[in-house]
Amino acid sequence: MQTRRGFIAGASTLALLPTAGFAQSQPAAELIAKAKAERQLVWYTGMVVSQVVRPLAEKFQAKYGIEVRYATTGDSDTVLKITSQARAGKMEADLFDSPGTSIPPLSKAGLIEPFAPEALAKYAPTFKPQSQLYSGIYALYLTTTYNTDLVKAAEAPKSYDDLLDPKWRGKMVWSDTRAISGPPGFIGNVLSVMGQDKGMAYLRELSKQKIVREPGNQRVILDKVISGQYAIGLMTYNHHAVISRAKEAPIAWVKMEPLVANLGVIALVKNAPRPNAAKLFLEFMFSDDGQKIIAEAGYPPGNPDVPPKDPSIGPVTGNFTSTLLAPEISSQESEPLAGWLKIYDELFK
Amino acid sequence: MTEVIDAAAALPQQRRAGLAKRPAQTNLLALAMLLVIACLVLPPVVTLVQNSLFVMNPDGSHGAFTLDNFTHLVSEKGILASGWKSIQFAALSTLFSLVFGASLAWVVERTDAPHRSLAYLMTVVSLGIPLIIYVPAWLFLLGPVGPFNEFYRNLTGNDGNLFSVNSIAGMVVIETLGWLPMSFLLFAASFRTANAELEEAARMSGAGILTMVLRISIPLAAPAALATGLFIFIKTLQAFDVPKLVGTSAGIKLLTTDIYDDIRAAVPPRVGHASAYSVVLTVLVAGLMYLYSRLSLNASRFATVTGKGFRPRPLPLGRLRWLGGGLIWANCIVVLVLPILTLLWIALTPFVRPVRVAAFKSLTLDNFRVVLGSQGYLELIANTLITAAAAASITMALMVVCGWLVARRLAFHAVTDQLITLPMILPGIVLSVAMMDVALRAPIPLYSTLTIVVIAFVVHFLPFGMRYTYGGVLQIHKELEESAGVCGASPGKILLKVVMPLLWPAIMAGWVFIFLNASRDLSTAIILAGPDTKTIAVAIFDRAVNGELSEVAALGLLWSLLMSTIATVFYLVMKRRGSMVFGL
Repeated sequence: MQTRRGFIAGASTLALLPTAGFAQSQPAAELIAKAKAERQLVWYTGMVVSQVVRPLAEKFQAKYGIEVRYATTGDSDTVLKITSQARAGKMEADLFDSPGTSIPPLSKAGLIEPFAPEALAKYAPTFKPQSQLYSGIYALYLTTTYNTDLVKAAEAPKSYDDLLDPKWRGKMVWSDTRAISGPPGFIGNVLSVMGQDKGMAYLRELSKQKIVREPGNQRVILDKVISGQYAIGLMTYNHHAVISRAKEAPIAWVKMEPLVANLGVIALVKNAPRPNAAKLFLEFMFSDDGQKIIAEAGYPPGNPDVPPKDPSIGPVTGNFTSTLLAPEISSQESEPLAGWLKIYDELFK
Repeated sequence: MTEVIDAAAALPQQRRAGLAKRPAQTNLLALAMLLVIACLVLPPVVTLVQNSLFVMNPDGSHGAFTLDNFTHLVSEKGILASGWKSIQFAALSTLFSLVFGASLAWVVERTDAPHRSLAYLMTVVSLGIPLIIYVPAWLFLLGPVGPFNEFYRNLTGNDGNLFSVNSIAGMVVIETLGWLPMSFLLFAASFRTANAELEEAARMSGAGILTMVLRISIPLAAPAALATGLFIFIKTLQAFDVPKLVGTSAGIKLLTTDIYDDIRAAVPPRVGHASAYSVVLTVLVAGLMYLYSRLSLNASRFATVTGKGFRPRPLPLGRLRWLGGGLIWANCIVVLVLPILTLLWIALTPFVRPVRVAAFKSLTLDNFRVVLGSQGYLELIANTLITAAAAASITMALMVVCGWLVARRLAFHAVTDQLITLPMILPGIVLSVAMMDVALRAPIPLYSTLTIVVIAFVVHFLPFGMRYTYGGVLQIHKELEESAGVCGASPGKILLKVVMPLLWPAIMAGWVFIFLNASRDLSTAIILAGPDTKTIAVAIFDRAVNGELSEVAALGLLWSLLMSTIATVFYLVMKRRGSMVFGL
């Protein structure tokens, strides 16, 4: 776990290094030649096809003449597919991306090939773990949002303690997902910030607020706040709120610090049939050119040289602190998430 | 069979020799069908049982034997309460979809009520709407910010809601609406082929319409109703989407609520719990099926399509015509107009917002523009149409033969029937996971092909297809086939020249049902799709995960429009051909 101090420290140290050269550096000629010989690669993805996946695939193909074939999958399907392919000895996938959740089960099954793209050199340490099991594409930030028609900006909750105000009883909603991007992540954040005893006392108070659990992802929850069904949404993405706000939706997000940071990551499959094409694609994805496509789609890119489209959504440009819940701790079967889930089931279910 | 033998006795020598071969031919046909069905059905069933009884290792292989999945089912908190709620939910949904489906079908097929073709349009279009937007549309419409509750608040100045959709009642309403089209199609096919003479005779003997319906129409529809009812009851007992999506925020728990999390939220999905539930359900269902087979032993007395001329005539409703028309319109409004208008509202607003005058100014076509602006749809559309049409055609072709074999109680009918019933118990995801294994182990390259998707759909829809053809064959009197047999026709020829033409309405209804349902199926498509076999369901999934409901609604509506156009054109063409076959 890491708070913003770590985040910013990492970023500013790196800013002093002569990183400009990296941005222009090209992948090794040997890698390019091998990749071209493989001619194509297969990518399992949960990212937006029209805004991210297809533009990246097309630009990469135009640059290197290597075809990117992609298949849309969710985390559970990705794990099912890759484990089954490995057992049958017929690996189809070269790369898969994930909001982190599929990293622990696939690494436990020994199906991830460690790899650190050279283009990641200038990124903050968060994006390139020692294990090299994955590379961070972007960090997304979960926080509190409110319906601006129902709640005036002055009255909106600003801090975690404000959420205990009785006037919000029954008017707050969160997703009932059991991943770190849902209530268990909220619990983890509170415990790490307030400490075990104070944190538990706070959570017990909060449980009296009758937070409604709605099935669906964070986007579904935000839509329910926008429609006015609930006044306040917890654990919703700030970039979603910004995208909807641009369409004049009555929604605003609160800098309820520290926010929860959730990494979007990509990893190389063990025994990938086209490892070099996959590696070259990762170099491209993390280059300035690749990250500009990510920024254009409305995400805050991990690349320090590519600013987000809306500066407010990133911690450095938007000036907020966050707690990183890394992919390593996203396994529902082991600590700390298993413990947070237990608290969630006891207090909030 | 006695008549056949009697008739055969009167035939010349060489013809009798020909007839003696035919039981052997029939047995061979039955054996071939049994083998085909077993190859399709058994592998996923074996996987289901394995998944319920063995630990799943991190790499997806099976580990030690365990009963944990079963004890997990029993040890759940408040299992009696959630079990009782599950039965309430399933029984009420079944009852309502049967009552509404049957009454609508009777009015459409049997009477001269106005606007009857509207009922078919309603069915086809509503089956084209993907469930991933159909359920949220109803939740919005009946929900706290929906127009009904808003209107109530404005009218009374009250703060609360007129009704809460997040309740057992809300679940029953939404689940019923989902099954209504199938129930209607099944009853319509059965009413269309049934001979109307009995009803006419009742009318001529002075019975009122009500008496006739109670004494003649309902008893005649009983076998179809029983089979359909049992089918829907089992499917709703197993449903986890609607109970979860509707009940969660109100804290309502059914037996399947946790299975939703095990399957949709857990990474990797814990298929063990769902499998154990299915195994338990299979045992219960086997009991129900036994009862059912006892009840339908005398099914032949329901045969109304005989050799004696067959030309159903609509019943004049007289002064009650408006009532029939009203029923058709009411169904159309509830099943189609309301959800479509809701989806249109959601798709036309820049973000999800209540229906208010102020919001009308913000209506925009942006969501449609975004959806239409993305490329790559042609491939998705082509893949979807190919798989759905292939699955519907193969399923119905197999089920014409099997429906006939089972309804006529020919060789291996009991085991064939049971095998075809089995996929009914398999949750979609369990089937897809099993199919993935089958494809990976197959000696021929099947993985990531459209073929394996088609096979999975065929297995999944076998029981559905069976309900259409079995019910249809029951109504055809054996005498027609026997006459053909006497004249020397082989079993194949009897099927092709006698049974199929008479079954045409049921085959068509089943085909359309499977085609539309396969094209909107999400879980199978996601798990089995590879980079070159993406279907439209995958595009909808992508938007549902990453986009707003408004965009999903826009894509879903455009898709429904395309699908219902295709299905309607197909239906009209087939109807004309069907009419020629019937000589109407």
